[in-house]
Amino acid sequence: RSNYKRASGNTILVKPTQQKNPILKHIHNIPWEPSDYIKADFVAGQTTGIVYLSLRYHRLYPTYIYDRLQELQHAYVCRILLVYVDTDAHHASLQEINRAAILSDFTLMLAWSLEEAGRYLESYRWLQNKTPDFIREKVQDEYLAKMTDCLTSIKSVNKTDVLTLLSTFGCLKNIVDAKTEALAMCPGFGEQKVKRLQQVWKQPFLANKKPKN
Amino acid sequence: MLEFQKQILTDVVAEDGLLITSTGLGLFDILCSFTKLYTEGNHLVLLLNTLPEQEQLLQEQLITQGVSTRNLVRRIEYNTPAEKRCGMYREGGVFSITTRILAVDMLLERVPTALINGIIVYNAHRVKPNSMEELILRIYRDHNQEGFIKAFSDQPQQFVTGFAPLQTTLKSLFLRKVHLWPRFHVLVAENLSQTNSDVIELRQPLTESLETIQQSLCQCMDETLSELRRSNPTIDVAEIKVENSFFKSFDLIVRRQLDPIWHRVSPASKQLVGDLKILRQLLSYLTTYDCVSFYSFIETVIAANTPQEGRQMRQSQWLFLESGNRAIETARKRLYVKKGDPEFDQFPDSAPDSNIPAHIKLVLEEQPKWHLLKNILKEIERDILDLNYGEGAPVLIMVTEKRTCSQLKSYIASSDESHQPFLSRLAHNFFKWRVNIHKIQTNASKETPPPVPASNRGRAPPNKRRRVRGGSAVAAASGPGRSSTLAETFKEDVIETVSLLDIEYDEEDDDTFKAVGPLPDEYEIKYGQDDILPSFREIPNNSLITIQCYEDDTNEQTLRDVQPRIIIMFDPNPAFVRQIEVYRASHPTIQVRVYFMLYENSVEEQNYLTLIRKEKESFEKLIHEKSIMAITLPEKRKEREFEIIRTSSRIAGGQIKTTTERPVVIVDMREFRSSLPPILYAEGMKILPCTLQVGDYILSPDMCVERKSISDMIQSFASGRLFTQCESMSAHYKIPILLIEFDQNKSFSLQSLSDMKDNIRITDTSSKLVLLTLAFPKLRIIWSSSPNETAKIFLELKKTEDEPDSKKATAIGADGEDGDTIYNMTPQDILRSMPGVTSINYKLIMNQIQDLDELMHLSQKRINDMIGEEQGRKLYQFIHKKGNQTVSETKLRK
Repeated sequence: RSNYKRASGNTILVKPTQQKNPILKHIHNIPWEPSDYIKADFVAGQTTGIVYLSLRYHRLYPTYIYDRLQELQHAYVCRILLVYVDTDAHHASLQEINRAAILSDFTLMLAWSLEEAGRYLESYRWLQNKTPDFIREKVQDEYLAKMTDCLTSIKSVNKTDVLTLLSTFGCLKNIVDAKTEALAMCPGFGEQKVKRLQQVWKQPFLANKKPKN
Repeated sequence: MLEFQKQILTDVVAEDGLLITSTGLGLFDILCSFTKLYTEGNHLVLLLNTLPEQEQLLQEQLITQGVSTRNLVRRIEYNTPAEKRCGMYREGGVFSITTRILAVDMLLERVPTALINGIIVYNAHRVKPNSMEELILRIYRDHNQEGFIKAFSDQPQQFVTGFAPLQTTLKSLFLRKVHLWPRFHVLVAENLSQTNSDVIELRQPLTESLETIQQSLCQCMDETLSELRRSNPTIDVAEIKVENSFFKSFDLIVRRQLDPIWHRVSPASKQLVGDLKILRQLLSYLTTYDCVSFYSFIETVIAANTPQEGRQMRQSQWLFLESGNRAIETARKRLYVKKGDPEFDQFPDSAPDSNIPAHIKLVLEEQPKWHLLKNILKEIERDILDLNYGEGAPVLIMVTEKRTCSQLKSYIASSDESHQPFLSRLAHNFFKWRVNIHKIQTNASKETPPPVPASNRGRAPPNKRRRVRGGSAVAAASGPGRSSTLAETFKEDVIETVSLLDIEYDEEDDDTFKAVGPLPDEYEIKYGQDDILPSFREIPNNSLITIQCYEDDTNEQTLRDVQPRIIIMFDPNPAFVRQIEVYRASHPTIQVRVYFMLYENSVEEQNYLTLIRKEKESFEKLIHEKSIMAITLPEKRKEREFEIIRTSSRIAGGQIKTTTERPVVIVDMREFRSSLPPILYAEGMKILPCTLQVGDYILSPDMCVERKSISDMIQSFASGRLFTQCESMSAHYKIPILLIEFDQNKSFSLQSLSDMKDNIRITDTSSKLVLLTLAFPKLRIIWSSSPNETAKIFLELKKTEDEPDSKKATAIGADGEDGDTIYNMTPQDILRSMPGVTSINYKLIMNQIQDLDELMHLSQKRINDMIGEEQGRKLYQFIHKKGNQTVSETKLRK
């Protein structure tokens, strides 16, 4: 499989003992290559070391994972414990593993299929040097979308209702100022919804704010 | 009180239990009488789960029954300061109290729990396992074996869905006994049958067009359902029938079935579920709305479904169906016809009106019941003069919605037989409003940046693609190339009208933007008891016509107050039928005549019958479950001993300490909406409620947990809030933890295999999780399959950790706020989603401004002073900008 050895440095490194791991079959977006020099099971980029565990294996050899985690405790900046949930009787094992991961400073990731596990490996490599801007708070500027966002925070108000409100009253201030009777006449607005809407405007942000001194 | 009501009260007083009655048998009166028993003397009784209106009514009833104002039910709310609450509990009395506050006060030992005489739970059908109510009752029973627990409900159908629901609820209520009082109970039947009945049932056929619309909508529903079934084979078909779909809880049934996998349900299926809801709404509006409001709702739905350029959007499938089209067309023709319609020539020219385009003629079809009502009123007018020696008798008209109240008022008040003036007025407003909604739509697409070609590459528009693949009925029904016809026609239609009216509008609406929706803003709508209608001047003044809405608990009061001789049930309502029965039985001397109006062969009729049937079936099921259920009430729980040896590996030397105390977890006040705190308590942890700025649960001085359900997580990835939360957790705690919590009944897996695409996409939840863990290598993740599992994992973790310090925890990130602050989440969410408001400045606003209402009325300068000029301008503009103006217009006006 020569194509897997293409550009090293852009590959997932695989510990030789893991070469028969079935999840490797599901890695097709990123090349991988065996490496004798790594300590973790997989290395995706310089700083991310991944240890793999299948729950069934864990039930047969319960001490294995403790040794592995111990060994690698300070080895990488980002230490991932990737667990394949391949049994329905997972409760007791997962309780234990959740705790073990936290106490040995590992971040736990769960996968429910080999495909998903493989995808996590690929993703760690692929996203290695991406900035997290995609998951940061961002500014949405489009008016209608923003207004929809804003008003649908109220229970039972949907995007059709937002359009009704906006087209009837014009702007947010007018919606807040709208009389009960006027709101009740909007198509789609039952009494409950009107009540909810009007309650929200008058509900204090801080329920028990102390009076200002 | 009737005999059966007395019997119910005796039962309730005698033994703790859950009382379930049919709706309309006077449950609220029983609550009042029961509460009254404890208003005198030195009792501490807590009343949970009453709505504000119910409380108000309770007070009034107690006053009329002679309870002195000192002893009335007192209300404890969020804004009652903690110290004051402590004092109040110790004084004693009957308190109505929010469950969250009571739970917090019990946990912080502000309530003398051992001294409570009893707890009353109203609306008991809302009590679910692991709810606040269960937590409260658990703490109560831990410390108090003597006090009573009484629970009330008049919603039997709420106790029959799910597995052994009655038994589950009883467990949560710490009750063993259930009292069932259906309408068919012998004593009830006997009590109510003694009265003579004078009920006139009027079955009004639908008009031809109403029938067409109803039929078409039902077809749409059918298609939507089969489409949904096709894509989700797991749905249990037996329960989902169109007949059910008329019933209110239908989309809930579908939701419940899909819930276990909701986070993995495809967007297309979610859209279908949403469509079902809209279709059901339309079906019920068909008979309750007037033709103008009904059609304007349809247009709003279409507008909300019109894709905007550069944005991918899923459109409702039913809009593309032949039957959907027919429903919409017919609904329009009830309002107006335009040139080109075959019917156009049949209608006389409308009176020239500057607001109505020339190529349009108004039709304005009336609701059939209106005419019927007018006839009834005429009949009554004659009869009253005969029967009551010309004295007149009060007439009560009962409707479901306030909207109908005002509709009827305008209708009865107008004597003009031909065109209803109020319908014309509505139509007039409709054409004005239509211009606005069109402008909002076009602006929205103008503001959106042009589509990035790359994002669309190689992908057909979602609609077309679906059609090619599944040989579904929906796909078959709509031919190729029709995909946007409807939206397009609608748009063209509007543009046509708009172009004719444009000039006038821009002038008229210049600065004072009036409410121009399809609502009659010009005339005030009044409902009330003292309306004397102009058309009935010849009738003596003491005869009133009252139009009222059904409100379960106040109906009895209304009947007592108005003492009507004639009742017209304009909309059917099973509970009210019973209330009339009770009213008659308790006032045997008053002759009452009831008119009962129903649209023949309509969804309305179907609904009514289903409601009655469901209630009866529910009781039969409940009686059965009661007979077989075996409830073992937990023994008085001994204070569990926690003999945990804590070896702290984190502290040098690994000291060993033994403790018998419950392990402590600090819980954010906001988390009391979830089921985890009650479970933590039940598992034996001591929970300390606090207001936390960072994290939801603090397990130790080092460990801080942010809890996310799957849907929360997906949402807060989208908004970016999760990133911010992880940032602040990392800044303040050594071990920041994200808890990903699945629901007990939902599937324990993040994404389904079929959702996985061949290549990695940044939009996948898994990619976002990877990004998050790469950005915060210190962040730990707990994966939990249910809140119960979470509790066990917390206990595991607590074994080696030190107890957290609540003072320190609340101080983190708090900038001097105290830990007792309780936030109202919805207003805060709305505020935070406004432009110009950031995760940093929103607190500044909340500290200076009371509520959203105040914020709306601030000057630009005040806002700028608070959050700076740039953000301030954004916020101000968002509040004041008209949706139908473009940004440049707004600026020009300044």
